[in-house]
Amino acid sequence: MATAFDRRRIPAPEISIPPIYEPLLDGEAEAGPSKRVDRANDEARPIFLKTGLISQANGSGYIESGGVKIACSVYGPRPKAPPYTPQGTLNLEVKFAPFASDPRGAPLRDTEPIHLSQLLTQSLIPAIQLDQFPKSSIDIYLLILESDTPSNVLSAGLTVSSAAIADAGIAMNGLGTGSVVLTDQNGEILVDPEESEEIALQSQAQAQGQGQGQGQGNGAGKLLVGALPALGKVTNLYMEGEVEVDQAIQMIEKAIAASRDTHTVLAQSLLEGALERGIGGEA
Amino acid sequence: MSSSTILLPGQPLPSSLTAPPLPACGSGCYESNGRILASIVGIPRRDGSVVSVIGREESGNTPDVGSVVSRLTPQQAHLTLTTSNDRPLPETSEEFQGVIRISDIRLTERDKIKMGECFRLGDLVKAKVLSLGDARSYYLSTAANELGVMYAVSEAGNPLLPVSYQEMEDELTGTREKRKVAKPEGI
Repeated sequence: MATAFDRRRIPAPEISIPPIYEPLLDGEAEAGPSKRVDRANDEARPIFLKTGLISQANGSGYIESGGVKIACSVYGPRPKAPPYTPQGTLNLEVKFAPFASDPRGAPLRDTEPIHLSQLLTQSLIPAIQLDQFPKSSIDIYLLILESDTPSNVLSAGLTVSSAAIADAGIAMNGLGTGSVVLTDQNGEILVDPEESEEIALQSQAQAQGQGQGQGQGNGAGKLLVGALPALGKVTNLYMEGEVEVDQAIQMIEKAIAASRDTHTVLAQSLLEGALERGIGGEA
Repeated sequence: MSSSTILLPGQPLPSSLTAPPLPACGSGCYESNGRILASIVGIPRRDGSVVSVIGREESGNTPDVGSVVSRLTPQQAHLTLTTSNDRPLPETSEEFQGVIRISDIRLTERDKIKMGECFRLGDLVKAKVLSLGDARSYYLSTAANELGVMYAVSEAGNPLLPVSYQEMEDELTGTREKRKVAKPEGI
């Protein structure tokens, strides 16, 4: 018997066997429309979004978007410990499940979530009417169950936290949604890039960086946009890489268009959630 | 109820509700560039010159609250807020606290108030929020006829019925206890 037993982890069975799948039929693609061959350059992968799944929280949301799965719970407004603040405080915490990243990360050790939660807080603050909640705090916890790239996690995280905040009945200016676009080495603008596309971009940039010093030839980059599509406002832009101004403007426009599509999905799931829970005492 | 009547944050209120004269914004909505937009998921409603959006739960500032007395001192009563504007407050691990100071209990004869003749532990009290109060609690007031104790139990443990503005009676034993009684609705 093992003497040192870590109670914080779920013990796995001693023997494990990989699952056996039925072989694919000839010509049958692997499941999911996530591969770029199945979708246009300006088409995002489908999103699954549902609110109200975590019953202990005041509001919650769950999103599956491409290679990202996030569970988000919102607690509050709850009374905040002194000192007094005339505005509400937003506490946001991003946690990665140990199985969320590849390679598997050590539990509770990584520093990536701090950076992510700061960026996410910045994108969320313009969406929430914090002045409505004096002396209170709103706590948001995001648990990343599966992740591919940090930017995809951020954009899905923004969408799902908006859903969870709205589900909690907390006053907002509008629903925030995130979207990612990428300009590849051929100058093509790809909406909602998957991990392989981003890796290709990075290795290209590295190769060019070694070859020509600072310059990056034809230009390639990645852009993350946080937007309030209902108000026609952009809350946050986060860009990596180097592209021409015209190209950057095109990227922003594509990203805003994509965030509008995401908003439709978000609105639909919020309406469904509201009907399921009943609104204003009526069911 | 069809889903088309439900508004989402950032969505403008239907023009039938915002017809001139431009109404004031109540809870659940806000004004932006001359338009009135919803700020929560809910159903819009217009009461005279005020439009509001009614959501699932009340979760904002608390002008009119129901609360339970949790601690009494000779100078003030400490309460735990349970409802706001007749809607339950969201359930959280910590609860919002309120304080009624002895001078805020009654409108008249404020200098003769004795705490023990107004509230007892466990009483259900309807109060108004006076201010955001100190760092910990809201300051509440019951200085109005319709505010005060709404439900209480006697020393024998039976429910009390209001008999006057400062007395409640145990129907079973007939004993009377002093309280700052809220005027029941419809009288």
